[in-house]
This record gives sequence, C-alpha cells and structure tokens, in this order.
Amino acid sequence: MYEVWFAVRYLHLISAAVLLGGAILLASDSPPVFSGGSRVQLAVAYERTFWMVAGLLTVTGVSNLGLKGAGLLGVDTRWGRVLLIKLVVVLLFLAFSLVRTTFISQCAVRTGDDLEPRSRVLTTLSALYVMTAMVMCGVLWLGLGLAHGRY
Amino acid sequence: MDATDRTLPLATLRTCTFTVLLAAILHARGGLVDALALSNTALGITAFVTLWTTTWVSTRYGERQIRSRAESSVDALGWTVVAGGLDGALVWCAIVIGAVLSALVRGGLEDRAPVSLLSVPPVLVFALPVGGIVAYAAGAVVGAFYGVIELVLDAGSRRLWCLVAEPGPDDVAETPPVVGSFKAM
Repeated sequence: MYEVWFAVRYLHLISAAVLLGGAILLASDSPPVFSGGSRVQLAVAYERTFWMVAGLLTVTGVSNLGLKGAGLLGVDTRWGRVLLIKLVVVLLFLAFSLVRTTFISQCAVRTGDDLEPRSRVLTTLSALYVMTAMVMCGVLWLGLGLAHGRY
Repeated sequence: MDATDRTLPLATLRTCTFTVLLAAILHARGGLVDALALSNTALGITAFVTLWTTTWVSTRYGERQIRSRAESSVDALGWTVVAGGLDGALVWCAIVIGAVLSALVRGGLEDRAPVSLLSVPPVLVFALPVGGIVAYAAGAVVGAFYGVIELVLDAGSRRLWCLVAEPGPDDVAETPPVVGSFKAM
C-alpha cells in the first residue's frame, strides 16, 4: 500500500515538474536561444505534452486523495477549504490552457520562421507561459502545504 | 499530430475538468471520502482511462463534423452536444460490458458455478439500449455545457490573436477563424 501511495505521489510530482519546467523554458526570452519559428514549434510540442501529462496529473491527484482515506478532511476545516481552492484553481487553469493552446495553434498556422524576436506574437507567447508557470507554482505551493500539514 | 488538431486538448480538457469538477462538488458537499472509499487505485485508474478513451473517440467524431459541416458557432455547439451524447452512450456501454465481464470472472475465480453465458445476451439486449438512451441524453446535456464553455474560450483566444496581430511595424494583420473550428466567421 505504501509503495502504491509513493508511486502515485511521485508520478504526480514528476508530471508537474515536467510541465513547469517546459513553461519556464518557453517563458524565458533572454538570451534568445531559439529563432522565432523554432520557439513556436517548441511551444506546439509543449502543448501536446501538456495535454498528455494533464491526464496523468488528474488521475494521480484524485488517487492521492483516495489514498488519504479518512485523512481527507472536509471543508469545515482549513485543510479542506485549501483543497477546494486548489481544485477550483486547477479547473480555471485547465480552461486557460485551452486558450493558450488555441493561441499557439494560431501561431503555428499563421506565422513563419521569420518572426522577429520582439514581435508582439512572441511577447504574448512568453507572457502566456509566464502565467502558466506562475499558476503552476501556486498550485504546487498549495499541494505541498496540503501534503505536509501546513494547513 | 497536426498543430491544428484539437482532439487531444479537447478530450483531455473535458475528461480532466469533469473529474476535477466532480471531486470538487463531492468535496464541497462532504461526500468525497465516502465516494472514494467505494473504489481503489486500480479501479479508479481504469475508470479514468475508459472515460478519457470514450471522450477522445467522441471528441474526434465531433471535431471532424465541425470541420466538414459547421458553418457557424451554433452548428459547432450542436455537434459538441452530439459528441457529448455519443460519449455518454459509450461510457454506458463500457460500464455494462465491464460489469458483465467482472461477474463472469468473479464467478470463475470464486470456484462456484460460473455465471451462465446464456444470461449475458439478455442483459446486453435490454440494458444497453435502455440505459444507452438515458446515457446519451445525459451526455448531451454535459456536451451542451462544455460546448458553451469552449465557445467562450475560443472567442477569448480569437480576441487575443486579433489584439496581438494588429498591423504594426513587424506584424502582419490577420483575423483568422479559430483553428480547427467551424469554417466561416
């Protein structure tokens, strides 16, 4: 039972780390490692990975809750309210991610390899990934607090 | 995968938000612990993978219809409702088939008289269509909910693109339709 719990939690954290790391890489604009067109293609690959890993994050997240058993406190406790906040933030983040993915698809279809590094398209792309990274850091903060009894 | 193919993002969005929303509602009402106690890790993962698979199949069907037939956002919403209904029916089929297989296997493992194979067809003949119709209707309602949400999100993405791609020294102005969505704006 402990091994199952450990594996589920490990997969959950690894998945989050992959998505957060990719978002930070794409948010970074300096120094310009990739050409404009390459950044868009990298973003397309990230979006594909994001949606595959999002499923893994969801199923391991719910499994984590199930494995807590009676330790899963209700909304009448601070822990329970923080869990509810985390679930709501995840819902909003997934909705935002569809907007981001659709925007990246537009970039892939409508732009070529000659995107200027400071063009509005690439600046917006960076901003979207900055927001992605920030939200993920926030959700990780809440999750670690829930796991380690901070609430 | 084509950058414009929205099947994976939409299928995963629908499956994940449905699961998380269900967990949030149960948690808010104080029923999450009891609900999770009915299952275990293996069953939960199987249920999620099954839901994701049926959602992927129905989403792909819906997106193909939207690409080839939808002329407006109302058409796109309609096909999303149909895809939701299809998903509901597929989930019901998976539940019935899973329950029948589980009963057959359990009968054999417990070393008692196995469940008669002759009893399986009547169960399938009655349970599948009757429950399937109800499941289709329920799925269609969920599909309508997601269709509206996704139209709003797509409009947001379109608006963002229009703001970004306005004429400037470095950019080319275009007003594209949402990629993978209906043909005309």
